Amino acid sequence: MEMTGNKEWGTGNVLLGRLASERGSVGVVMALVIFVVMGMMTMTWNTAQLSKAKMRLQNAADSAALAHAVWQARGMNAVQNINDEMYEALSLSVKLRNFARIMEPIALGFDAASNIPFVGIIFKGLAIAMHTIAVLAGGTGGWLATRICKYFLKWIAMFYVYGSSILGVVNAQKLASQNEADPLAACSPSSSVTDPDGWHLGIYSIGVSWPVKDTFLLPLAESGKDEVKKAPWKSDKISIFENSISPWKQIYKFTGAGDAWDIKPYVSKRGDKEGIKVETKKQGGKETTKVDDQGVLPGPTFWIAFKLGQNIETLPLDGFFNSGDKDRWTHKLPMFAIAAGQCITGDVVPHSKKSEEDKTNQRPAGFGAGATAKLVPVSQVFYDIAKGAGYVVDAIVYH
Amino acid sequence: MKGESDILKAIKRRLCGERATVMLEFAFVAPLVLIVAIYSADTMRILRTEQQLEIATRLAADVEAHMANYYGNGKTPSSATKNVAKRYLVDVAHVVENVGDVYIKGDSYVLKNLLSVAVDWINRFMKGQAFGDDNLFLKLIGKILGGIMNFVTFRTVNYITDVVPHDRAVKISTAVYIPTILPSAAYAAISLPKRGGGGGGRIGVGQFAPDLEGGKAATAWNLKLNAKKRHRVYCYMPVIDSVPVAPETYVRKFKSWCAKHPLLKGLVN
Repeated sequence: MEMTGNKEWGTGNVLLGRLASERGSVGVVMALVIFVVMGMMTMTWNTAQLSKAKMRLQNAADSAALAHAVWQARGMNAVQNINDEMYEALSLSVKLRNFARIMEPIALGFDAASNIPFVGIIFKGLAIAMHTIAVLAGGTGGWLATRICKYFLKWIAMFYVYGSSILGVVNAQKLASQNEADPLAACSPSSSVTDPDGWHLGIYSIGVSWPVKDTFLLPLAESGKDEVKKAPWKSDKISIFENSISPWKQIYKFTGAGDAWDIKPYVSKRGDKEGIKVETKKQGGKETTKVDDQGVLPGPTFWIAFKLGQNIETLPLDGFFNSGDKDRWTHKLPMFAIAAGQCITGDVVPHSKKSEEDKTNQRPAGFGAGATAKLVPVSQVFYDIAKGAGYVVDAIVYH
Repeated sequence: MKGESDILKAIKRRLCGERATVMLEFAFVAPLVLIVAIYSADTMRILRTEQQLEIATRLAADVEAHMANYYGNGKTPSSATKNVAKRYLVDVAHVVENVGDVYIKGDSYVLKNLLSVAVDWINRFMKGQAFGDDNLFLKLIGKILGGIMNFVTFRTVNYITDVVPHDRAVKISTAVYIPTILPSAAYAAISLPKRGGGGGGRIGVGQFAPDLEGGKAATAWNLKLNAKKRHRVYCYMPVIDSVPVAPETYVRKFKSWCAKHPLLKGLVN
């Protein structure tokens, strides 16, 4: 059978003849198969590229969240070290004050005895000596506590709390940027040079530290109604000098010693500004005191990294479907990744018993210091937010 | 010869037959489908291995960061880290069908930031080294100023600056052999995508933090590894100094002095 060159059959008949014939069918099948195979390879390649892009984005979010939490932990550890020093100063001042409390009644006794004729002058001298010792000891203690704690360590602690948090934000943005995430501030004119549209959408990371109330309002409790009764740094209000007939009480007041007794170190417990929240319950006639330990400072940091204009490189076959696109070899896909980090503190308590005994002054791990940071499931953040959504607004405003 | 011509004729007849067409189609298509299937499976397995290696590396770096904090030295990775990390890396070794070994390398770094620089300067100031050691006059001035600052602050500034959080980090990198039928060039193409901008340069996939040594070195090493079908993941993990050793402040010195004195012992104890 002649397949070609037969004018009687005509062109249409030739095509029909070729289609009816089995010759060349392999070529047709191969063309279709190669097309499908190339499509599958493209899909595989694109999936790989997409997966890698997602990994990088997740890395950016993870590193940002962890970096923020790490600096918060460093801040907490610094605060704990300051608390430890506060305790040293306060405990010394309390001991000096207690010494003064012993001296002052003796001085008052000598004052009373000074009315005795002839020998009264001797008792008066002794009274003056005792008053002097008492005021010097008590005043020195108060002066130490006031100057060291209230006017110095307090501000150092505040510096660390705020500073470490700011450093956390800066470092998080830096790490996110180095993990191919552009910080928000990087919407710069230089980007518009490379992008004809004049607007470059990179990966953006947003950090939220929650709850900021606890982070930035660390309670430096000065006298208040809800004072912690069993706080180790707390001592009774000294009144002996206030009611004393001693002429030295003005000196005592001048030193500011009276203010110093109410200074409490920073604590990490969430609660009110007065410090550790203590709940007292009566159960069966027995009174129990419970320390509210729900949550420690600071709250989880929550970072979102997203990239609206993520370019995913694809195989050239992709251009077959998007031939009119100027970026024919790339897809632009919106992507985002979420990560949450948390500063896990040891209880930032105001003193270390071991530092009293251990002359190396090395604080035992886990006793106050030892705040660390880790990545936590994002669901935990949402759960925490659900418990106190009011704080989130503050957090967003801050950042 | 006649027999041979019969055989040739038979072959030609079979080749032109329908069954031959099917066989030819199969012969062409089957290898293609096989290659695509293996290519897909291999690519996905490489990705999976890389992800697992990344997780394992991050874990190793986390362990090492805690060890560095505990020991306070810069020798990383410690034997403990290697042991712990390799336990976890067993999963990755399984992924590579027990033919690969996982190599762990590491080092520790002190990163410089604004706070670290400021703290360094304060520390040097307190020690009288703020103006350098060359000029004796400036050194003397520095010591006097440092002494005054120490006295005014009861030496607590020195205390605080010694326990200030240092921005330390450990670097852990792992490398693993990933068996694949893909040629080295194809593997390298998958394993090392181009990365531009963002401050990161050309850096490997799976890093938790960027390579601080610079993009070129990382690229060279990665290319070398990729040529051997090896994949490397590196991870920087910050160290949190949580157990510092504090120097004695004047308050502590006074308490120690009182504790030694028989008359004042009861005052502070």
